[in-house]
Amino acid sequence: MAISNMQVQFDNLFWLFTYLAIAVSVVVFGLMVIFIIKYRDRSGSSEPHDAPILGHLPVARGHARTAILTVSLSTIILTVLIIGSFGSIDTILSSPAPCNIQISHSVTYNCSVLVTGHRFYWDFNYAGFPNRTITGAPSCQQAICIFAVPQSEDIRLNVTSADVFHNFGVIAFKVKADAYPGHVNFIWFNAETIGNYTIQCYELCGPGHATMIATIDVMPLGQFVSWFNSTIVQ
Amino acid sequence: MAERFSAVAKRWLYTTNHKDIGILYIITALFFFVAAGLLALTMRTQLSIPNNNVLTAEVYNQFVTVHGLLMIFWVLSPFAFGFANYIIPLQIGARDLAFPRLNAMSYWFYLFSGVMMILSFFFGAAPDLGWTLYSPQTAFEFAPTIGLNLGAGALILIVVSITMSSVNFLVTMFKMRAPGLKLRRMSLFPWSILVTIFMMLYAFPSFLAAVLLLYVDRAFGTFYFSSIQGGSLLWDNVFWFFGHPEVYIVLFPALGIIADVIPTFARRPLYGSKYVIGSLVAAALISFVVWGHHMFLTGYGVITDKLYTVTTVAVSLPFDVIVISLIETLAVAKLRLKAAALFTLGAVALFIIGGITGVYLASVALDYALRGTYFVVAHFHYIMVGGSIMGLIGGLYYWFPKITGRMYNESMARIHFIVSFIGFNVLYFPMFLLLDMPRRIATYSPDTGWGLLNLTATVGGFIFGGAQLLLFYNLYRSARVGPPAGPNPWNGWTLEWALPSPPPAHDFDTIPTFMDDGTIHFGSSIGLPNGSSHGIGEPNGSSVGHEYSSIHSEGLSPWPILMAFSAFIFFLGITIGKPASPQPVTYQPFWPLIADGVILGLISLLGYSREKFNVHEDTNVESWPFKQVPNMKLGIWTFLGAEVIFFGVLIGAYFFVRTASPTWPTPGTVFDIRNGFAMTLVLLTSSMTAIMALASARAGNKNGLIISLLGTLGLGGLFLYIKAGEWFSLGSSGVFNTYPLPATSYFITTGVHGVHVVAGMCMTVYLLANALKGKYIKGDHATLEHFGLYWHFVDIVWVFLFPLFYLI
Repeated sequence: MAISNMQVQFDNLFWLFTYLAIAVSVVVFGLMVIFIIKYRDRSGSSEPHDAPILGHLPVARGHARTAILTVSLSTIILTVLIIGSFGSIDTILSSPAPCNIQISHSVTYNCSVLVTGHRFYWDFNYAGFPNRTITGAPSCQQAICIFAVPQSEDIRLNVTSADVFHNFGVIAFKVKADAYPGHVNFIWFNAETIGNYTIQCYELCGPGHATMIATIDVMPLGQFVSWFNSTIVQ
Repeated sequence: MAERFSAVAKRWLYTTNHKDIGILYIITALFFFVAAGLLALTMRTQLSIPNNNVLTAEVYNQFVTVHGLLMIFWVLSPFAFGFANYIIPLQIGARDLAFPRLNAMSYWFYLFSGVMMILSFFFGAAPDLGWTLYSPQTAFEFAPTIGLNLGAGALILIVVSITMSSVNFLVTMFKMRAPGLKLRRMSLFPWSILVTIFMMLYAFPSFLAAVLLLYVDRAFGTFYFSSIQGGSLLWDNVFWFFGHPEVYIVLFPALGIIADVIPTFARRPLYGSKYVIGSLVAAALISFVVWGHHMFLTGYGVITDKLYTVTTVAVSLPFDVIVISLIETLAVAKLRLKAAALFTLGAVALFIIGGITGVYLASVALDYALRGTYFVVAHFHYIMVGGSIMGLIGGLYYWFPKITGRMYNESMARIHFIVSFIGFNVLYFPMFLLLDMPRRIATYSPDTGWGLLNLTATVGGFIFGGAQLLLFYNLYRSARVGPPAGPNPWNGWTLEWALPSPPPAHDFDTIPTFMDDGTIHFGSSIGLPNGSSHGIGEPNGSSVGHEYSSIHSEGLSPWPILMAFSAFIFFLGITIGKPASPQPVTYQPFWPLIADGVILGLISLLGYSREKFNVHEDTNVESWPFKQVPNMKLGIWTFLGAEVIFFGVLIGAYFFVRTASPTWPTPGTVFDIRNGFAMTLVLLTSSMTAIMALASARAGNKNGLIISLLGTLGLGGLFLYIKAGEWFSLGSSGVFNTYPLPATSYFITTGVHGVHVVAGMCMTVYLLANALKGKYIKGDHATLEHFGLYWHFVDIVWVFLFPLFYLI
């Protein structure tokens, strides 16, 4: 199910990695198990002709071609993975155009949000409305504590911190950004399914780290506009 | 009884024998392994069910931090270096390490530093911000307990220990190999250690600089990490420049053990041995250019992220070669599945899984989802526990008969492997599936759906932890009552198996010789019969052997442990002091302990240098490429190499904050150019007098030597006098308020340099005292030469600092 564009992209890439990982594992572990079973010491199995013994340097063994083959095959697999990753990273680090949501006849909103980490809660400021701060914390359930975003719009987040090193992560969207003082990190997503999703801190920031949780509410555009009007614009 | 006890105590406390020290390292590392493991089991208990309250979040964070720090610094490397201590001199046919007392000192620094880390629990709170010690959580404001100071002190002490022992191993392995043992003829364990010490030499000075800056920030309220310009990013860069090589530092020795144990039990030589060696070297080099992948989400931009993705993915290539070679070794083998073989093969399997999942994390795109999750935890535990610990346990079973002379119980050991292997996977595999769960959270709510996987992992944790009881019981019992092992129970080819088990204190009677045709001669017995495993390398009483057997009996010295203890006391005094005021932080160290530490340190330094301690240097050994360089000189050069990195990082930190700062004072406004110029002149002149001292000594001119040394001492003093004047006038002018970062970088960098000058002057006093007694003028001027190297280095550093702070 598509929850966000980044999540869809992550799933595709993750499974590409996993399929190749399984393929490689089957070959490598298969070889290992076969060798261990086939060449284990049984009664009657004879000492290999080049068995290392005390008093002699072991005989040199192995071919350059095995190393070359290993490196070549690995390089092919890894190149596939790198190309896939580069495609995704271009999307992640691209900068989508601002949206233009008509909140009322005189007010528009451009889908940009400043996210600030604090010990141990998140603050959200909608661009153009710096004086209205949404505070996301698990204990708070009022309208002023809900971080709402419109469905199917490119939401652009600028993430920073007011005190220590945090990491802002929307679990289901597969979106994360480091939040540390003096620096603003940019990240964006497009949420496709309406509902509430959990935001959690992904960098140990102190005793409240585990409960540094907030909620993001993905709303249909109309509902978002009326929420925005009543909560942010006033 | 009491007499016997004191004899035993004296042997273990004063020993300088590499085998004793190896045993001490192994036992101490296992002790810390148990301690850190118990912390982990408590954390697993806390996480077994949602909303659990076995541990508070505060205590959980301390456990998670100390668990990580202990395992990485006090378990993995020291465990491996216990084997290295015991086995490497045997394998390369050296009589001991190059500097036996330094080796003992390394061990005692290691032990005391670990004690200090654990003590931190009892001073307020242990460090509680993760082993990565991210800034600015380390600032006094967020971490006001003394525990973090103790932790920083412990880390400084263990870096000192590691630096001493890497210098020691480097000199030993380059200068003391048995005749004919060319580097490429060494087996994989010594090779892995050689590569590891190179990484240590270049990675740890960076870490030392980082911890030092952190500590000074905390203690004196300087601004490297508490400022926006330095802060998180500066720490991230300096820490991970060290941190990624460190991952390989804790892994490589285990890989080396694996690559030696598997061929022994497979009865076939390691497949593609030279490619495996090449791969180790390649991976070590690449490890220094991948640190950016720990900062994929820190916002460095597309190009940097892609670059680090490529380097990080590339680092997996050499490991592919190593793994394939290990598997290929089994082809057409006669594989005996003894416990050591099982553990090393199991380690390879787990390492493969850890390596493959590492490729996931190398992809910056996947990192946007996986960063800071249990997927990462699973990945690096598959490497560090699966690869390293399992491999090292394999090594423990492998060398136990050599070290104790007795066999362990094989069936119990096999059961230990099976239970460990199953427990390991039940413990860590579920964590791959917890790829949404944040690391280091003390608890989670039931609606996350993480409960079942966490419970499974906890069950696995207790299976894995419980299995280790089998190991300890087996080894404890077998060391007493196990059947005699004989010299070569596994039919291994490396040199340690030629000696009786356990080997005599002096190791080989005569140094083995590697012949051009690939045979190895042990003393008088030439051409060993194929497959013979008995009666090799028995003492044969040759005249040469007789001379060497007396070395170790006198090899007891009380000074290494005393020196380490005084450093421990000194750092305890510095770290457990109380902050006098929180904002701005002014700091009150605990002076009585510091004074004790200094006095005891000076006494032991004096005792150390006056003690007659003979270390034989052989001339007929294999020592390419340093044939012409005496051991001590190579040691000094290596140490100075580490110093270069250390100062390089300090200067790098200066450039980092300077380029990040919007403004910087123009030259001449804060730091007086005339002062800088005068100090440069004074210090360069002192280099001249140091050269004159050496020239006088060479010419046998006692008066010239004394005058030159006095000149060096005086000029050093004059330098410090000008420096101190500048420090006090700047300090009283409130420069920290007007120019916080320029002042921070100036005081720290020149302060560290000043300490080096003071150390050099102490050496000069020592040299003067000896020169007055008529030493150094009869061709015995090597010490003067070594001092000169150090003194010139300190001067050259100043030549870099002068323009940085005064001219540009």
